[in-house]
Amino acid sequence: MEIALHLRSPGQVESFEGVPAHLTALYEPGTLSGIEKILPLRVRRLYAGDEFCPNRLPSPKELEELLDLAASKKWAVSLLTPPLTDEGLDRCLPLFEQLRSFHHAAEVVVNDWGVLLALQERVPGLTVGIGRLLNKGFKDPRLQDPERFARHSQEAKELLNQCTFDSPLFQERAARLGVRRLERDLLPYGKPRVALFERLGVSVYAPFGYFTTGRVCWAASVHRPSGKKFSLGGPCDRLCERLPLGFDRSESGLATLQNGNSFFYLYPQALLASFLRWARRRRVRLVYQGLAIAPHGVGRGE
Amino acid sequence: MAWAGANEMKIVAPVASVREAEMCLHFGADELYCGVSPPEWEEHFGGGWWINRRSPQGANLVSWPEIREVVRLAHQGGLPVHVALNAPYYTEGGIRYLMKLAEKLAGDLGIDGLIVSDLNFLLTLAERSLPVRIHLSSLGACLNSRAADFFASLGVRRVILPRHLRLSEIRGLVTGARREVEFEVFALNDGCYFEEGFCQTTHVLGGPFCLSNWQRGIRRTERAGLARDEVEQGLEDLREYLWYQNNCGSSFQGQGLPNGPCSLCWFGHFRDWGITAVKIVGREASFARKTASLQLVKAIMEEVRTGKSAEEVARSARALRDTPEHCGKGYMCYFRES
Repeated sequence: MEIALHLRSPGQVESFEGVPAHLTALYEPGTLSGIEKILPLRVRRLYAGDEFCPNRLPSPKELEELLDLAASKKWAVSLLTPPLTDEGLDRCLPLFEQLRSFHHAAEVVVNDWGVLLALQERVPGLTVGIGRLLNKGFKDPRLQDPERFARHSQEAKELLNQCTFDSPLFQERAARLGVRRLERDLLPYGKPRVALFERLGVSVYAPFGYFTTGRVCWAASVHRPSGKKFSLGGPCDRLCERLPLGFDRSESGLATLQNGNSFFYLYPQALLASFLRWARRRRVRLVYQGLAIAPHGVGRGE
Repeated sequence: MAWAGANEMKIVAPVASVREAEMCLHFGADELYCGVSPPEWEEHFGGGWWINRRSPQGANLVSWPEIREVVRLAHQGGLPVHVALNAPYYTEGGIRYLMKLAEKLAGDLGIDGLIVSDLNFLLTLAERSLPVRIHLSSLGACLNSRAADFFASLGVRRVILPRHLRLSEIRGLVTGARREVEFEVFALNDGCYFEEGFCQTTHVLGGPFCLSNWQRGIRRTERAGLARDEVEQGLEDLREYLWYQNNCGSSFQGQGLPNGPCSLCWFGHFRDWGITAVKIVGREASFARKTASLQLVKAIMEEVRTGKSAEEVARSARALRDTPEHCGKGYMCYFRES
């Protein structure tokens, strides 16, 4: 298992040693197959960027600092990108160029088919992965009784366990488009094992899966004048990065949280522990996002 | 079939019954769209996963004779019928069933188009070449011109753009696409806080997640960074915004026209940029709301078709709506600029 760490700034590397504490704040100590001990020692790749919001992409200077950090640690680099408009895509292209100059085989994770096409056309050579926003499945945290739901029929059971990336048709198309990797969440009511593919690498994000997002953002609207709130593309003071996070408990018992324009569920302890046991000796990349999504830790909800 | 007024921007209207199809023909819709929910689907999924984005009850045609009659009526009036099979995701078993359904809809029942969002379903359809047009649902979340090119390469003839785009972004997208593809935009009704194409919740479980009590977490933000009054004001703004997205509490203005999200002011621009069609949203809406929605859109479309300028069309739309308190707020506008 390859381990990657998603950071928003080089300063967060100071929190890096705190990863075990971060994890044990989310889960009972000693329940995750020792991952909290091995995680800081095994990191080989840095994730930068953001898959949900263009305002959280690094500036060229911020990216340079992250690339310097990666070089000093001898880490490879992946840049996460969100869904983008034409204008957003144009603004992102210099970051791709910067990434390519860092290493010709650096990786970009796209969450938009147009970004994939534009990247291959305008900045060829970068390794491309498809991100989790393009992987659809059943993730609604309000499902009260998944076991009862799954007992209804084979199809219902499949619904809780399958996702877009599991389709051979999809994999074939992705490979034909030059994609090298598929990046996904663990489904909240699914099995802890994920499908592995011959021609495509697989990444799994942890410890949070996402279940909804959008371009409208409450946090970005707070300091905007009346009439400009909830509009797209306006100024953003990245309040989301400073706010503390708290869990809510959904109808299914999943712990959920909001960060900026996106909502996440915390993987249940048993699901994550089981996945880690299974993945330890397999060709899977674990992308640890605890520091990127919950840099200040997470408080227990009401 | 040859469609009436092939070069004019069209009105696409929702139907969930034969009676509504008759109404749409009477009031001048140019295309119809509907959902279907055959009983076999529920046998497989037990009502826990809808065949499309809307409830089987009230938003879908549920019997073969009803579907056949809607198609017959529409074709008699020269209107095409498009069927939404646009759940955000289908399992492999679901797609196998949908392919049989699509063959029946395209063959025996003679529908004209399928509205699709799931990529694996789209890829499967692309391999088969059924005698129907494929429209990308707004759930396909096409946000840029290169994405439009991507979907066109899979056989998509029309891209229905998502709600959350700015007007300038729509113009850039439509004029920037290199492949031949039509565009459709939302005209009226049913806002959504999240981006549907990236929302992995289902309306089956207690309605739209965005209208549920998800704001609980925000209140805690007062603990750090924000003053209490900022949090309270922010929550009040959010409640108001969501009220507008929910069709202003499903209300009507004094003359019986529906309140709620709309893009009527932009119709002149849409025409000038070559948008093919505008969509009235709301397959699950009441007969009264559907009728009033079509009348409202039709009235503005007539102004568009007489060649009035984009500015004149916008003035007419605001005057007809006659709700300056809502229009001035901005929350009722699709596609507003920042």
